[in-house]
Amino acid sequence: MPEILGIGSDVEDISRFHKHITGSNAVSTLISDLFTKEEIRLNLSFKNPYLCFALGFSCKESVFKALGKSWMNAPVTWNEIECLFSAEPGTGKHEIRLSGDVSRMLDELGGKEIESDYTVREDHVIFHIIIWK
Amino acid sequence: MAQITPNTREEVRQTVYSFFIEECEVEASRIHEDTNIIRDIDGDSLMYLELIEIFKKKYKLNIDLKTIGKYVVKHPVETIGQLIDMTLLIIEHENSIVELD
Repeated sequence: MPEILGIGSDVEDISRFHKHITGSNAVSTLISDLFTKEEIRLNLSFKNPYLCFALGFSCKESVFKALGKSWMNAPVTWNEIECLFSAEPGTGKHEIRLSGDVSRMLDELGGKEIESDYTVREDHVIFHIIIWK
Repeated sequence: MAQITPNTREEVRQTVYSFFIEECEVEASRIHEDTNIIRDIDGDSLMYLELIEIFKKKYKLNIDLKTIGKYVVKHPVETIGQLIDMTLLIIEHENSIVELD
C-alpha cells in the first residue's frame, strides 16, 4: 500500500487578496514575488482573480506544510510551487508544479506524487495536499 | 543598505506594532516585544510577507524572500521583538544578512 509522506492543509480569507490586485492587469509587488508570471497571467484572466490568488497561496502553504516546512524555516522560494488553473476554479482541473529547491526537497524526502483538492466557501478557501512516497 | 539610527528602530517598531494591531484586530496593549506572533495574536505567513513588503518599499531594500528563509533557519522569528531585530538587520545588510552569524 502506498505510504503518505506528508499532509498539509491551509485556509485563506479571499478578501485579504483584494488589495493585491491593483488593476485589471496589475498586481502588487508581493504577488509578483510569490507567484510565477504564468500563475499571474492565468489568475488575472479569470472572473474572480482574488479567489484564484487565495487558492494559489493556500496551495503553496499546504505544500510547505505537507513537506514539513514553512518559508520561515526553509530557504525555499514561493514561486517554486505553481498552482495552475485550466479553467475558472471549481469548473476545471488544476495542476501543481514544483521546481528548483522545492522539487529537490520533495525528491530528497522520497515524495513521488502530490494529490490535491480544494474547497471554496463564501469568504474563504481551504486547500488540501497529500504527498505520497 | 542603510544606516541604523535610534530613529530607525523606533520607526520600525511603530510600523510593526501598527501593522499587527490592524491586521490581527487586537488592542495595542496586547502588542509588545515578547508577543508571540502566531500563538498570541493569530498572526500568519501572509502577514509576515506583507510586512516585509512594506519595509522593502519604505527603505528601498534589495532582499529576497529566499534569503530571509535562509536567515530564519538559524535565527527563528517568532516574537515581535525578533521580527523588529531581523528587520533592522535587513535594512542594514539586505541580502548580505545570511553572511552574519
